[in-house]
Amino acid sequence: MEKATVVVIGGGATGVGILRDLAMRGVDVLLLEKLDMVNGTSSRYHGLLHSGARYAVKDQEAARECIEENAILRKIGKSCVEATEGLFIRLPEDDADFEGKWVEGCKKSGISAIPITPHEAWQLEPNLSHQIISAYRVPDAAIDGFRMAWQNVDSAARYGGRVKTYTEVIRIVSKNGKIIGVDVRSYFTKQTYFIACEFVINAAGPWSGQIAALAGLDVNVQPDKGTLIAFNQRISSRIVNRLHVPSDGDIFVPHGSITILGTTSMSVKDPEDTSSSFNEIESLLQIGEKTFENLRKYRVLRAFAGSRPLYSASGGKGRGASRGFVILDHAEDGLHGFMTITGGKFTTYRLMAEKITDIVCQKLQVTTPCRTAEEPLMQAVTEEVKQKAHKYFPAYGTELAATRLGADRFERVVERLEKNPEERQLICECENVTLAEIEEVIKEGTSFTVSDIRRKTRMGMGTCQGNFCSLRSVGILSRSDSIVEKQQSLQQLQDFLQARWKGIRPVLWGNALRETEMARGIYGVGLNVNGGSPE
Amino acid sequence: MIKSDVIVIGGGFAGLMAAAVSAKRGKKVTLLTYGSGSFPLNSGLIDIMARPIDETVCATPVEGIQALPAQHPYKRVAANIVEDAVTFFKELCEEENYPYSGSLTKHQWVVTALGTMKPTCLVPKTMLGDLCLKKEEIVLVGFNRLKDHYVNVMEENLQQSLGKKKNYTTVMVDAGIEDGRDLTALDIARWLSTTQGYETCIKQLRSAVKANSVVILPQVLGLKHDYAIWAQMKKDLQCEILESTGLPPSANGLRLRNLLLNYLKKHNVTMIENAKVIGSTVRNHICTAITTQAAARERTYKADNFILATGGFYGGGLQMENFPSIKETIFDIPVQFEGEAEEWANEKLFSNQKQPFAEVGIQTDAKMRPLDGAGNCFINNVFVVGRNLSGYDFCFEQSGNGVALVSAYQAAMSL
Repeated sequence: MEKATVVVIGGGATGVGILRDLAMRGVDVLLLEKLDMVNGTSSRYHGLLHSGARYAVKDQEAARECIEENAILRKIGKSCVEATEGLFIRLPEDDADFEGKWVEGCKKSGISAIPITPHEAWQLEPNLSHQIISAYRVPDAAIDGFRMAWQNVDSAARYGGRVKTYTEVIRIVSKNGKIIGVDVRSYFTKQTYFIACEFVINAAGPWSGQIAALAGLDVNVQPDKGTLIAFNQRISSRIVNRLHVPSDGDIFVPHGSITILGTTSMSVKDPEDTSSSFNEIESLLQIGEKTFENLRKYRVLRAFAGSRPLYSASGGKGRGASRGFVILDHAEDGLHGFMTITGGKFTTYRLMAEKITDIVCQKLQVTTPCRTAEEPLMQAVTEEVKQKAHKYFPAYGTELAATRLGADRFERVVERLEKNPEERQLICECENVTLAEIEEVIKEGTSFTVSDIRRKTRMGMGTCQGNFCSLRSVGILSRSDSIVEKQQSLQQLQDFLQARWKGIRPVLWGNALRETEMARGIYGVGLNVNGGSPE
Repeated sequence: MIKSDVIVIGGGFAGLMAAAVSAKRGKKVTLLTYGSGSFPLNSGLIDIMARPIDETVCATPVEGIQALPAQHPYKRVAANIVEDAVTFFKELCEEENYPYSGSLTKHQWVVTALGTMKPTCLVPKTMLGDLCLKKEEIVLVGFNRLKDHYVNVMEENLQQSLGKKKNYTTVMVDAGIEDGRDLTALDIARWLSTTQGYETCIKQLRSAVKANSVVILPQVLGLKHDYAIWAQMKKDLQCEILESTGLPPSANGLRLRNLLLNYLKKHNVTMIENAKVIGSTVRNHICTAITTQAAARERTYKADNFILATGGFYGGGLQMENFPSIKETIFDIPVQFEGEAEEWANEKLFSNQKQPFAEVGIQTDAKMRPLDGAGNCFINNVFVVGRNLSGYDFCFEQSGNGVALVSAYQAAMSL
């Protein structure tokens, strides 16, 4: 029988944070995720590592947490964070009174907000609107949600922390008011089985209401959908926020070679609803072009959406509801060994994990202190290995691969490249992903679909949105022996193309339209992806 | 500058065919190209009609055409035009010693790089996939380091599309090309065009392939529009030899392009490459000249007639900078999408429906002259051909090169 001391439900930032913290304190912990890691909220947001300035007026406690965690994540997750800094700009339509309150709030929360003149702002960011009235520099940064989560998992693994993906919890099993385990179902084989444990931590984000309901408990988490747009360029070097009461479409975050504009806020019934409509995109663009007047000249890559878990004890909704986090010990509801952690935001995931881990450890009488704020998530890639890699990677590919793979995996990939020239093929030209990297990721046995590989390597996320690498990656995945639960290759390809299409459809104009015609030419006309036979 | 009878704008299949038909009719033709259209994408297959209405494949291309709605480009022209265009194309290929097979009364099935079978109409001899139905032994050939071709995927899906009763084997050929660069099918095709390359390949195949099999390769049997390598391999292996479709760049697409350019040269068509047409001079519904932008200066070209073959959103003939305004870039011919934003595209990329955005384009009269919103002729001596036409979905219907061929033929016959 499988067992663990603690089962954590949910493969997002909060879940992996708890996994790592418990593992580092020597607790036997297993994380269960019903699909692939980081497929929900933690990868479906703007990727902003908040300085806290956004919350400086409404919620100074949240603001303080942000600035403290911001400093910690820069330190422990160097390769996940791009220290861009951020600007807050006020435009004529933004309330002047708010500015004073905001400056005061930043001061009180310990967030550095340095005033600069509009002229200085334009020197820093020439594309900014020429209507700016005032501007401030704050220590915002960009953070990669996929990478951060993966590095937590890798770090936890070094301490014995385990993960099972595509494993859905379907029942929470208790005896005499105490947790004894969970029933789970495998996504691919549909097989169900029992995992014994003493504690269950519900860290399922917007799904945590559904998980609590499995134990017959009521946790009021309202999924709140946010839609975002990815542009194919960096529009600015810094994060740009509007200096007003936080609202839709007022944040731009540059990441690598793209920029993300977000977000909207809309209550939805089902956290699985990650659709975005033409109208949502249009309204984002209308707000966004106040910040960057030429916004519509930039190519839109795709749209995407995710659900925030907004918790309310009393039923507050949307931006009115708290962005702070809560920990619910369901012992108070008569079920010992079951806790829910919800609300919060990506920036404070580590702190949230620390708080709940403290409580669990106290119950387990584990006294080892939390060290997640001191120990880096991964070892830095050495210059020596990078030098070796330079021989095989395209010019800027080395840095990209080193940061996304981490020291150990990167070294293994470089070794493959060295030994096996075949594997130097660039499978995804847009994101510089080699065959060696894809083979290495497949070998780990945690990727079952092309989208799983995409999340780990960035393959298919670039300019052509998978026009060329879709067939290649399906071919590579389906010839691999490392994966038992393989899906039919044609179905894999159809699913992957459809997943890419979902984000392109609401932005179908300009070059996205052009690329789509090409995708249809290749996969529809040339390869008859719908299938067919003469009989 | 000497005035032409007709200027054809566009170097894709529609443009080259319009120039060929016009030249054959004795017109003085100037062809302006900027790129090569979708030749590298579409394997040089002439799809005519497979799915006129829904996902059901029609019995024959000609029956499919009959089932189409009135606004379809095929329905704008007289019924015999489709047939005449097909005949013209086949005779042209025959003349260039690269004959195509097929007719309007039967689908030809080709093997795709996915291992699905694709219905089309006119195909080169190297792609007659029906041969697979007649043989038991199917051999799938891949090449080491060719990242665009996966025999394992083809085998898995051919078992669905052709049935499990056949014997499938896969062979990987090592081309031993050592220049550190990723290989494309074109590299292999160049290698196979050398005696040494061909010998190396055939040696590896001989030991793995039984006589009387069907051997399926990616498009690597040379870049020239002849069947020399194909015929030699057929003889050496005593097998049927097939090429599948594949990821771009497509060798057979380039063969067809070279064939057509050759034909145009022979028929004294003036060809100007890298000529981006940026504007036109139109008075009283008559175009007198168009302007191109080359490296440094603008040039003006005059003619009695103009054939617009600039493609759609992919080719650049139509542009949509922001939804919903669509621009035809040279003559500013009106193009409109009538629906709401949410109706612009289907929820699924590939489904049982035509894509609304794919059917958007220029409306024309029976002679292929563009119409304005009120249904009046917009410019009397401009003819529109290929993907910038409205009323069809090249991908869903599997009709792209067919519409290009028929509209090009009709336009050239209307001069």
